[in-house]
Amino acid sequence: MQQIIFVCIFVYFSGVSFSQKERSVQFVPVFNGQKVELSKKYESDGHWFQFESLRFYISAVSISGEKSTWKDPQSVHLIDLEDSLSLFISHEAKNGKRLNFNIGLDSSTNVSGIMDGDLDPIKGMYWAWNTGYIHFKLEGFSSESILPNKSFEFHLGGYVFPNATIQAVEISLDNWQDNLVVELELGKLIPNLPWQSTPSILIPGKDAVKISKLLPTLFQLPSDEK
Amino acid sequence: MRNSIFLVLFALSCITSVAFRFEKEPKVISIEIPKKWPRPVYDFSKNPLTEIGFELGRKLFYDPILSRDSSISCASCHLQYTGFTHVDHAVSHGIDGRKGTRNTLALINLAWQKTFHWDGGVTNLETQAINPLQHPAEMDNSLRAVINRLNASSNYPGLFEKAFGNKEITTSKLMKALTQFTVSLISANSKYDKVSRKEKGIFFTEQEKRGLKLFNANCNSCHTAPLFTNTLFASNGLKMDSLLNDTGRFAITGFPGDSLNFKIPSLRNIEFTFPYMHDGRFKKLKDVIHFYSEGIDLQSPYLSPHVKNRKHFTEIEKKDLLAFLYTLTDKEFLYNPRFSFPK
Repeated sequence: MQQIIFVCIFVYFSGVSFSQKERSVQFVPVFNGQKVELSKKYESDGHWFQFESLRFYISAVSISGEKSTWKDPQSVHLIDLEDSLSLFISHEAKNGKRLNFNIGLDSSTNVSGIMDGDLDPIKGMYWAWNTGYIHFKLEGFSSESILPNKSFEFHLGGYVFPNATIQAVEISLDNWQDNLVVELELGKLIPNLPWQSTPSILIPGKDAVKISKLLPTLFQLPSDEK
Repeated sequence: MRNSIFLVLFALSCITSVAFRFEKEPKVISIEIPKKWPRPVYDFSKNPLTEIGFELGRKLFYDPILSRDSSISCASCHLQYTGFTHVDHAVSHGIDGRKGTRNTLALINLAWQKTFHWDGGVTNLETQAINPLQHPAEMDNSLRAVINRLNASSNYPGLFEKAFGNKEITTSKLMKALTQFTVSLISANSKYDKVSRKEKGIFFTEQEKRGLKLFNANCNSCHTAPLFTNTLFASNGLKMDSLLNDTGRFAITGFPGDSLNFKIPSLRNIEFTFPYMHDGRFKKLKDVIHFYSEGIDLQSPYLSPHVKNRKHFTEIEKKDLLAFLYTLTDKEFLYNPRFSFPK
């Protein structure tokens, strides 16, 4: 009898693990449709742009269908173009009509003391002097920049009203695929950055909020899937 | 039959491994909260205090391994005998003799502080130490370098394993260990405390009594007992230093009303934490009292309402106030061997 139970348990668990196929949401940063590689020069509107760092936090990921919603048990992900594995978030939804997530972190995460993993301040996304996380970081060089070495750095963060930068994103999924690809079109952001006034934003405030409000428009499904 | 023996053995091994784990886990201790004090602000639930964790934090606090060139430790600017501040330094010098722009704050009763630094920019004690570690005018190190150095050291991985159950040293373990030490720096045994507790044979002198009366009437709304701070910020009417141009809390919040607002520091052990004010401009405590009596810039646009109706103290009153402030000195704290350089 015990042997039978043992065998049943074994079959049950192995069945579960076999039926679980890896499903993921993959973030793909693009610039005017071209996949972004770090330290590579891109031309646009007579200017050149070179990206050295692109990192941002994604939180509260969920996929909703008509009947059920899958909620990501891992509350926070640091997406870092330098770390190709970080671009993938695994999920367990079987179907869905909507993908939802936040760009950035909620206020309680920002003040919760020292944390590990993607929230470890060693990741370079933490402001020590003014407690809180950088929600979105884009750094590089461009002929558009008024800074002497043509550099730019946009560190967008802040969680205190009225300077909170967290943004909600919702993407409609018309054709369901187990492996979802979400593009991040920097071409929608670059023309709207303050190149001629402040191509270096390093503190929370109005400027950071203004740019952060543009961020949700960057996320899109690849054009052949629309 | 064979299976049931197997199951029993399995169950036994589970039980013994659990028991073994409990034996190895360090014993949780707690800080002593002085009678009639408010509850601490610090959330101990995510970082339970243990004797071994406290000792590790103490060792780290006194170890120059944290600074870029291993030249200075936390204790270089936070000396125990002066309330864990940098006595005689208006602003402190860090690595290579580089100078900061603000006076070192004392580390006293931090468990009750809601914010840290003169501008309150840091909202959790656990993350405070990242600032001096990285600041170019302080330890000028990077978190990555500190963590690598500690992991490569001969003694620290073993000490972290004893304190946190795991050899690998991470940012969070480093910060939690340091916090276990700094959060334990409690000063509540001054003459003022002993008189308040009606301890046998300890009384205020007549002069101290007059000082207490003056203090309650003029100072206590900001420097509120028993912490001797209301943990808020205020513009006290100091003229802005034209070289430093320090706007204080405004740099953190961006609200114009926070301009020239600085943390209201605790007055505990104030006798020894000189020089005074956020930029250390006053060398003597009597200079501070003189300032509140005669020096406040009443035209300052963001002046705290509490100092608007300043009181002119007579010379005798100034002496009385000083006498009272000296009763906030806690020698048991300043010379407590538990907080001193670990031997």
